[in-house]
Amino acid sequence: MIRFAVVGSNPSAPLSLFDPGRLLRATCTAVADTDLAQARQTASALGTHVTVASWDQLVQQHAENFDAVLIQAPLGSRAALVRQAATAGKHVLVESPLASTTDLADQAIEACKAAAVRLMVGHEMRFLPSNLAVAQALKSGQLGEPALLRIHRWLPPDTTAALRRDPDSNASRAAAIGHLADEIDLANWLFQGFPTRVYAKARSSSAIHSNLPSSAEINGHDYFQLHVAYPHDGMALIDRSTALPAGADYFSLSLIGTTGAAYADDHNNMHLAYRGGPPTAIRGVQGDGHWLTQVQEFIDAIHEARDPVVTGKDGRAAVRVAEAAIESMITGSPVLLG
Amino acid sequence: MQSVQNTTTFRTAVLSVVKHSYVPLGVASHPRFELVVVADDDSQPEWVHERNALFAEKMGIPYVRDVQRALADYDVQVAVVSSEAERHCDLSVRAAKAGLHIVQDKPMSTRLSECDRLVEVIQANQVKFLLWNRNHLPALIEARQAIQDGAIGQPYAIHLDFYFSKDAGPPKGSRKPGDAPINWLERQREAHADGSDGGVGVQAMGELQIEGIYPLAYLHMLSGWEVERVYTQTATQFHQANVDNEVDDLASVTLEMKGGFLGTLAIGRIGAASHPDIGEIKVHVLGTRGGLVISEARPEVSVYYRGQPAREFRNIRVANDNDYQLMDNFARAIDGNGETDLDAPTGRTITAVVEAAIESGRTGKPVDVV
Repeated sequence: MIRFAVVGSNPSAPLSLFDPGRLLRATCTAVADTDLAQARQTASALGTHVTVASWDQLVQQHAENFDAVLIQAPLGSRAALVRQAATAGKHVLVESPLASTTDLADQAIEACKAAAVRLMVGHEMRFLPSNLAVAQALKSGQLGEPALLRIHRWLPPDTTAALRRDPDSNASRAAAIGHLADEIDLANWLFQGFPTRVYAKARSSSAIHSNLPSSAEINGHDYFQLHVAYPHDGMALIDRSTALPAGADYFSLSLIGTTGAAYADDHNNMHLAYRGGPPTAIRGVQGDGHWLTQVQEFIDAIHEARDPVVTGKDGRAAVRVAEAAIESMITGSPVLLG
Repeated sequence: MQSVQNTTTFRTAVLSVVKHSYVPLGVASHPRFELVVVADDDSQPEWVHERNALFAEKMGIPYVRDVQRALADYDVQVAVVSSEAERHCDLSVRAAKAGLHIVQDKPMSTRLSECDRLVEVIQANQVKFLLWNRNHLPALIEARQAIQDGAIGQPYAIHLDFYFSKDAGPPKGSRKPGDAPINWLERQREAHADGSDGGVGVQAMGELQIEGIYPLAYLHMLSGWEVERVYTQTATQFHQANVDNEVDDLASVTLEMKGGFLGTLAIGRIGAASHPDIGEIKVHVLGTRGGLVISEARPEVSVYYRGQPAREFRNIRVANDNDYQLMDNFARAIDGNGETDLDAPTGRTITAVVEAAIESGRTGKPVDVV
């Protein structure tokens, strides 16, 4: 049985969105959050009554009561928490992105390596059932080699986790990395490699008719598009908006392979409701099971003494490509990688 | 009270029909256009004459192996050009100089200089020009209406997917040691039987060049944005003919528009196994008040049955009135009601975007559109 603690307890934060009753060979033993009321709420949902107000208290008072930690702290403190958890000998599942810079990511990875603990980065898009199906088709050889990946991800502002928990860095590079890392990781994973080149643009959805976007900074931009090159002529187009009106988000992934293609598109999974006037689309949802799958993978990797499917190296790669994308947005030129 | 409709019929010459016959047939779908003659230059190779003669016979009209004589003898007002791509502009220029209005197959040309020449002649002779397109497909009309109605506010980004899932001859990697490279024209001639000869001509063309007009025409129709700069990746992933002739069969393009608007284009001939129908063709539009996702194929009807051939489309497009609407627009333009849906300057602009995209794919750098 793996005993885990949760650091950062926003009940709608990614690593809290799983059903603890369905988790195998693991149990939650403590929750740490500066907001104790929120910590108690999360602890209750996860089946424990132990709550503390900080990481320091967690380690000082309950170090013997947990083997692993799920970190969903603000991006600015995330890498430091990973290092501290590793130093305390705890396995780590950390919300994505791993860090706000590759340097910080390297430090976190090195700390985990030195302490011989498992490090998994919560790039949850890999665990979405539709994405798993695409990956399986690719892995089985049905699609041949990946050739062109297209991702559209459109969200309303209030569901953007990175911004929600980093209100002070809304306009910062770190926030932009938070915007981009998950889709980049998804692309890296499907191509099973690291990009060779990235070209990226950004703009503010509200700044219509202004001269954008290759400005010297990326503050206030809520729309990003990436054009990523992979070895063997692979290519990916990713667009991400956090400017949809409040309500549902939209996700679409298509992967053109050399011998086949897969289309995982919300557009193809809509129900209809007739209530007068034009019909309303109701999305066929994929549920929250991918959160459980992700945490279970972390638990299983610890049990089986193996690397999890999303490693610190993967998390670092996503941060590195996001950094390059930001550089491209600023310079207006493609950035070579690798 | 009903408006008085102009019913003047335009006698139409078909100037070469070596590629798809769908363009002259599309012209003939409108009651105001009457195909009266097929013509081509006598100097053309025999296979060209055979195709022209076959179409003329099918339509019950004469085939004349002399373009100038046909234009002079048959009292025509309109020319429809569906030759090899490299001859498009030249035939159109000759028609325009003869005072004919022109419907021309895509691409506009394989060379931007030819487009410039045609634009100049069109303007000098005050004739109308329509570059064939798919802008009147039902889904595109609905998308335009939704945008015009403000359904998503002011658009700021458009993404276009235009994948044709046809095969194009032997797959990549199928050429054996010692085999000669595939001759582009011969391959296109063979492909005529199944309609996958969109790139017919001596000069090899990639998918960007052959089909790029369609999605870029969507961009023009839906937004009116002017592409200023492009960044492109191209690849040959699927077809040996493309490998042997060093032209793309897959491409992705970043589109940077005047005013800071952004977009992308994904285009390819990705193989028949990749889609149950003609291919995934979609438009994604982001606006200040929402997003719009359009499938070009809709509306469609699904049909499945025992013994269905593997390559038969399972989904059949319905309510497609594109041909008639294009020609109705063309007729109204001739009548004096404005320009055509895709006129010569716009076609030239799209060709310039494609040329810049190909150059960007070759150099790996962003390229300004000129």
